[in-house]
Amino acid sequence: MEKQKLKNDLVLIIVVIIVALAALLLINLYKRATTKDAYVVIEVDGEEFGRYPLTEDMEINVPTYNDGSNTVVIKNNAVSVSEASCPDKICVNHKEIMYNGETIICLPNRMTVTIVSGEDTLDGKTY
Amino acid sequence: MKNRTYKVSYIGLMLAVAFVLSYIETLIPVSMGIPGVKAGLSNIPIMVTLYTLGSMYAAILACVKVILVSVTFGSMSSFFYSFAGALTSILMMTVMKRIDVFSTRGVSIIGGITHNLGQIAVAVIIVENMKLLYYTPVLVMSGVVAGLGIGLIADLIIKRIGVLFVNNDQK
Repeated sequence: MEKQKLKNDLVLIIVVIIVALAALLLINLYKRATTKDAYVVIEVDGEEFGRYPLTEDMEINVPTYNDGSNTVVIKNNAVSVSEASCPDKICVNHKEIMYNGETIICLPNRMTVTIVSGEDTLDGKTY
Repeated sequence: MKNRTYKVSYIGLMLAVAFVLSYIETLIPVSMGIPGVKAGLSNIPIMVTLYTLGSMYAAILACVKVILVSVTFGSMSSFFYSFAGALTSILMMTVMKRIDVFSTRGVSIIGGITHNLGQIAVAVIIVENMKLLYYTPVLVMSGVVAGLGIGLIADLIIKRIGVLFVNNDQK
């Protein structure tokens, strides 16, 4: 009985890891395939703050939830957060994002920075 | 283990251990570059309680721990994430323990995974961004690793502490 349970544990671990790896692979493939004319979309507390082309280098100061602020940097087709008022600095330590669907999140300030493919945007559909 | 006073003092002791372990965890900056990844050391006493006093006591312990830790080291937003994670994991672990197909380790792994899933579900609702779900595979894998580690440690403790409980019943 005990041995059977240990076997079940092992099966559980292997199945979960395989499923997770497969999902990770699919997500990465999808992201790479859809990154063209991408936009950087910054949202604060669920509402869109601004939308910037990924190809233009710039620095954006974002006033966020609870009088916080984050500084988002777009450089060489990659996006990162250089400064944040939050205590944990997870967003600042996050590695640069450059593919469609990738996100940097600052939970305390309720800010998300997402790369959106040009085809996903409303503008892309209307024109 | 009939004595109520014994149970109350035991759960108090476990709460103290969970609290200290939570504090120790805030001192270790292990994020490994992935946000939201933690070892969850304070879940060891919760696992031990689940297997010694049962799911009811483990659930109470988990809830009180989350409230205490959020008030002292965390913030209001971290409270919701932790609470959602704690509730889903304790619920799923109780179910898995009843079904009885996995050992302590398997149950702990389920707990680790569902803890992270519960947190990401709440994060999606609060931040209102479905893109957060891209993190799910990473968080699931970290849940497996953390859950396995916690399960192994908890298993060792349960084997030793469990004896104490059997003796008490026989007295």
